[in-house]
Amino acid sequence: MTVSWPTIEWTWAPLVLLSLAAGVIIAGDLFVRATRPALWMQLGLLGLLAAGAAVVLQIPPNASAFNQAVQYDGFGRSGVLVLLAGGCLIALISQRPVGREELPAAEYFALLLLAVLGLVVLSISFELMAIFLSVEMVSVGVYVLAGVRRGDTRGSEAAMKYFVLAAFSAGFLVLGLAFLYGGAEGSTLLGRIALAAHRPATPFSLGCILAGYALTLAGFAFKLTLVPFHLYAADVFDGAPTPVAAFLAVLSKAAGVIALIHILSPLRVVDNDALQSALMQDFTGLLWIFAALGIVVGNAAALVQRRIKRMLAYSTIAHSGYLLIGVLVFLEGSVRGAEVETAILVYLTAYVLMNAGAFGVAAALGPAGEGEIEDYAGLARRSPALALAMTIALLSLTGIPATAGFVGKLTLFARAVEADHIALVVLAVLGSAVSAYYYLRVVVYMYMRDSAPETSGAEADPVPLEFGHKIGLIFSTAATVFFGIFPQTLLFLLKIL
Amino acid sequence: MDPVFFPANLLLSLVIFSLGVMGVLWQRNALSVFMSIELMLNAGNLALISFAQRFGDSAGAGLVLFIMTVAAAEAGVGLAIFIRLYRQRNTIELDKAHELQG
Repeated sequence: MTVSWPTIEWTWAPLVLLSLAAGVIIAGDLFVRATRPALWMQLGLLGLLAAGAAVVLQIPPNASAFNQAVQYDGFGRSGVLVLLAGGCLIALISQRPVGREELPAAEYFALLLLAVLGLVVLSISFELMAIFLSVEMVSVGVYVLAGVRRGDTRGSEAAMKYFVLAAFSAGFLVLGLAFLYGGAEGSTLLGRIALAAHRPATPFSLGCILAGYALTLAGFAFKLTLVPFHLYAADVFDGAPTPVAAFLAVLSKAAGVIALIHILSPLRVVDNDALQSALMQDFTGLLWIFAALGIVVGNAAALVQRRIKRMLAYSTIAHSGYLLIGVLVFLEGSVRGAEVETAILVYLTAYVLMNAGAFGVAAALGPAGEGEIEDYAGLARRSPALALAMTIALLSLTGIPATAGFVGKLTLFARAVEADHIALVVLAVLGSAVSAYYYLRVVVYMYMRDSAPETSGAEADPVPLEFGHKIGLIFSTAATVFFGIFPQTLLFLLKIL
Repeated sequence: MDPVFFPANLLLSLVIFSLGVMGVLWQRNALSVFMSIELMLNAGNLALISFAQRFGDSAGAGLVLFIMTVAAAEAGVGLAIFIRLYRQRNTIELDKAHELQG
């Protein structure tokens, strides 16, 4: 306990605030029969913002609690802020789908908050029990959220597929954590596991640690949709409500990357230890393959998708490939850890903003924007603002200069070049070039094709948007452009917050 | 506990785990798949308990309690999903659920 106040333990505050907000929403639903989802959305936003404020104002970097089990290291702390901001954006873009499809609003927003809470805990936990519980907290919440459309058979199928695969991956995670626990000679703290990895007591405990890391990596590979553990992603994204797909695409992946860095950091080469570097070779080799496969398979599969959410699903698989390059560079330790962490945070921020924009537009359009890419034909005429927001998000996903996506890719790939991963960077840049085809195809449809005659009558008038949804889209779009033109401000924000 | 016998527990846990993985990959009925997943989780539990016993540390045993609780919560949600799927399609064969492909 390095930092503790006599009255309030601030390290808990964000977690308590989030669960409090979720509890208030659930309990409030019993007494207030809100006809509009706006009330619960606002309460959820309040909880997320309060948690963010607690982190910014009251938790200094490197605060820790529970005997080092929970640590706000600089990386995790900034990661928590990115996650909370992303949570706000997803809550904002949820308002319209929840209202239109008459989903149970209170349950929806409470589960969303609890899932965000799980991700926040995941990115600050340095202890196996907390890691497992937070992963499961997210999973169980998302099982319900994915199938929240009651009558919809596609939603049920998405929920079932996500359930089976997430539970399957939890099996790997549990055995992996068990072996890490054994390898550390009976300690669940990541710090102790690091000590054991550097100075293994016996060959047996070294074997346990290796097996543990391999299994844990497999468990996380499902969460991060790394190839070949990616097969569920397209189906689940397509069948789940759009904001839930955005949550899976953006937030759970961001938290997964943060947690993966925390968990694998014991393997990082700190001194020139022969055993250590031999260990590293195996794992970096594995990560190299995962990254390369993600970039190749994600981009190739996205090319042939006809449905917008399936295309976005494969695009996020490619993006996890790019992110994994960052993890790989971090683990090798040839570039300063803090720099790689900053690059990953910049990338994650951009990734959250641009995906929130793209999924937000799809959610705003509803059935006309969640299905085939062809439905986007003529959108620029029907609602120019939405078409513009979608265009900016897609340009940023491609990595066109003057967007946040470009800044993210540039900083990340620069670190990879410093670490001599030229081949991977070439692959990633080629992948980005290929991705321009499937992203810009949507833009072409929006601006250069006319909508099909049978739909043009019913949907000719621009889509009226809720205030909150509008704010979410404006914020994500504006921030995508702003951080693209002034990348220094993003670095500055990450430093001072 | 005698350290010599210790790896036998782990071996058993690995065998159970592999049975679970094979079950998930080969079974087509959602309930059988779910049962296989429970086997995997309990194999992990067995390994945790063995390590906790071996090193005389109670944290592993505590973790097992949490895992069992979480597995129960997961079963609650998962079975609800299966029931709804059955009502909609009259089957919970995983192969028959392919509305989303393509």
